[in-house]
Amino acid sequence: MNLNEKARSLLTRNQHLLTSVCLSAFLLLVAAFRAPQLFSSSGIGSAIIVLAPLVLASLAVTPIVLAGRGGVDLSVGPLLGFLNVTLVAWLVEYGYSSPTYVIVYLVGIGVLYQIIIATIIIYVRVSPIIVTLSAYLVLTGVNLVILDRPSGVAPEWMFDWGNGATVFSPVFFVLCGMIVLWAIFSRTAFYQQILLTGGEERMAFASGVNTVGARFGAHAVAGVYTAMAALCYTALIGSGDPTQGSTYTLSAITAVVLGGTSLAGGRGGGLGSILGSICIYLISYVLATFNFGTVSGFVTQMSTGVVLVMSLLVNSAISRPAGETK
Amino acid sequence: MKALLTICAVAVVALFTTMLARAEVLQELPPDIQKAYEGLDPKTPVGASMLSDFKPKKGPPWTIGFASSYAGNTWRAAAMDRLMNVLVPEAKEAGLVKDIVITQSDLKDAVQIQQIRQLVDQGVDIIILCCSNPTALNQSIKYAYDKGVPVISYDGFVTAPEALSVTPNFVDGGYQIAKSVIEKMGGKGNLLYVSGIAGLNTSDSFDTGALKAIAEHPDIKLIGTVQGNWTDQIAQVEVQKFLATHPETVDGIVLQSPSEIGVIQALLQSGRPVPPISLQGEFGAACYWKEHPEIADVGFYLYPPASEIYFGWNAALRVLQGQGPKIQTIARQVMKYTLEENNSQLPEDCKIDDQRWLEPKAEDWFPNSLANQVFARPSDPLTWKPQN
Repeated sequence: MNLNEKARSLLTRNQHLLTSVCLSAFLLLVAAFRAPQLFSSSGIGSAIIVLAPLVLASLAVTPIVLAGRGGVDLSVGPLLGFLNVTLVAWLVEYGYSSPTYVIVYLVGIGVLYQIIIATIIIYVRVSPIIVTLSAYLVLTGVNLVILDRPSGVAPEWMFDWGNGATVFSPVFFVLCGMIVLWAIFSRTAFYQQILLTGGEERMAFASGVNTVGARFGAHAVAGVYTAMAALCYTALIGSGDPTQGSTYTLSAITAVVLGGTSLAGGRGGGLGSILGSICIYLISYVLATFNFGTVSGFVTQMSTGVVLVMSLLVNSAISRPAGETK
Repeated sequence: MKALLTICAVAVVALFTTMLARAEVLQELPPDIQKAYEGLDPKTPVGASMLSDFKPKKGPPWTIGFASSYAGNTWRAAAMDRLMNVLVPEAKEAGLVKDIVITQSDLKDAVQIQQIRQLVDQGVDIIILCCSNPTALNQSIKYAYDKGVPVISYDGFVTAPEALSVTPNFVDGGYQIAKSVIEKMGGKGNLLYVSGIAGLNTSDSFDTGALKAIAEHPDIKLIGTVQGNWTDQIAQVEVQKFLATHPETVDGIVLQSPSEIGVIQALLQSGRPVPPISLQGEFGAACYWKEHPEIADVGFYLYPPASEIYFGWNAALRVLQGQGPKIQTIARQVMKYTLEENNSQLPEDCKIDDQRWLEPKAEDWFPNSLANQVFARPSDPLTWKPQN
């Protein structure tokens, strides 16, 4: 009985994961038939290095979305790009490329940037979408000023990170480390406060939650994860690129939504974002095994869009009855 | 300490030998072919090719992977049309090609990286790329090379030493094209420059050449630069915006194609005369030139779409046939075309919204005279017979 209750509570708590779990299982099944090489050592290794920046970027967006008030970070992609180009054009260029320098720099700038954004959102009270959209545009321009074309090289110690011929690459350990960190983070009282702030801000405030602190904290965590996404991205392309970072904004937000996190805040979690990212990767992987020829790029986009809408429908269908019975 | 010194000495010697080898391969080529490498983007690899002794694991017939990065404009459409309707059928008929697998990454490097690896794991024999990011794919190109799959990049180079790049000289092309417009302007006046896409390598290389030509002419005043994004509609809007805020006369326009017809239409809509302008083979603009011969003395083929894919395809077949490329990059110069040649390719009742492209003869774009110099064991790919 007790066990049954526990299982039920686990199920209710993780209801939002339903679509992403089912979808990724389905896609893995299709991949097993269409492209079994995905499950080889190099197939998984490649998947990890390509997926790592997306997973980390989607984890960066997650706490901001969870903290509610329509918070969503549109600038995550260009920030990732900014960290990538400055790492290549400044740190490597001037010889400050030891792992310590690089990680301190990335995390420092990532967190600093997010604190500035959070300050504008919280104290100037401009809508997060507007603030982060402006930041998106500013950073897109700044990135091109810093590096006018794809060039430069990643720090030397990172050279073989992007090879991905085996599962246990350095990127794998970075990714695992960051996921473990997320698991710890999501068990803290602070994480609960973010959820509460996002779900019922007034109630949270009334029950003594420091809602401003929770928001700042959510942004700081986002800064750390964006920094690590930038690290993995730099390893993936082994160089600097002023425009490609921006493509991560849409993918990361799509992953968050696919993972069942509500854009209204308060509901969802990191596991969903990870699964969402995996789904995005698998959609493109599975579709590439069909020879759609010239239109395959559009087929991928269309399929991702359709899957996204369906998952939103399913999510709202399963969460509504629960709300009504209250 | 001694060990350190030895390591240093070895490193220095190794560096010198590679530098020498690098210079040697290029210098062994005949002078007229070397000319195509002058002014080339300095990051373009021109050392001895790592594919010179490449032999495929099996075949023919081979399976070819084409990791395309984009499919959404007239340039890509013209290239794809030539590939699917001419190149693949004729190679299949010659018993060289079994299948072609095409992926599209929608200008996302991370997706292209995934697709290259996927094509390798799927078992294709060679991968062709088009005009991609020159550095981002390097690790994946190495991954492919390590598994015995060579990568050919056409219409743009990649810096990976394992790849073979076949590319026009964009820097010199930009220079020649800008210079011809400036000469047509009489060496003085207000010039508008319509660039391509900021942050993309080929676009920046063209800029380098064009700006060099402009800098050489002190009486030319660069009154503005807009980004045409290699798309007529965008170039049209950008030039309209520019003209609306700049009342001064525009005496000449240098542009990166495809954008010429958009630019011409913007001028016509704003009631301005069309000044000397650069032409790169868009049918619509070619048609306008036919009716208004005064806008240019000469047109330029810098990256004609169908000929470019022929260049890449032909080189890929040669690599598979073990013809052994000598050098990491095969470069070619911009090619001029006259008004007569322009008119001969156009239909009688041509229209300025025609989406097709003028093309040189494919054999002229990648002639045997060039192939025979840059491959160690050259032979026409379609008549080639496997030895032993």
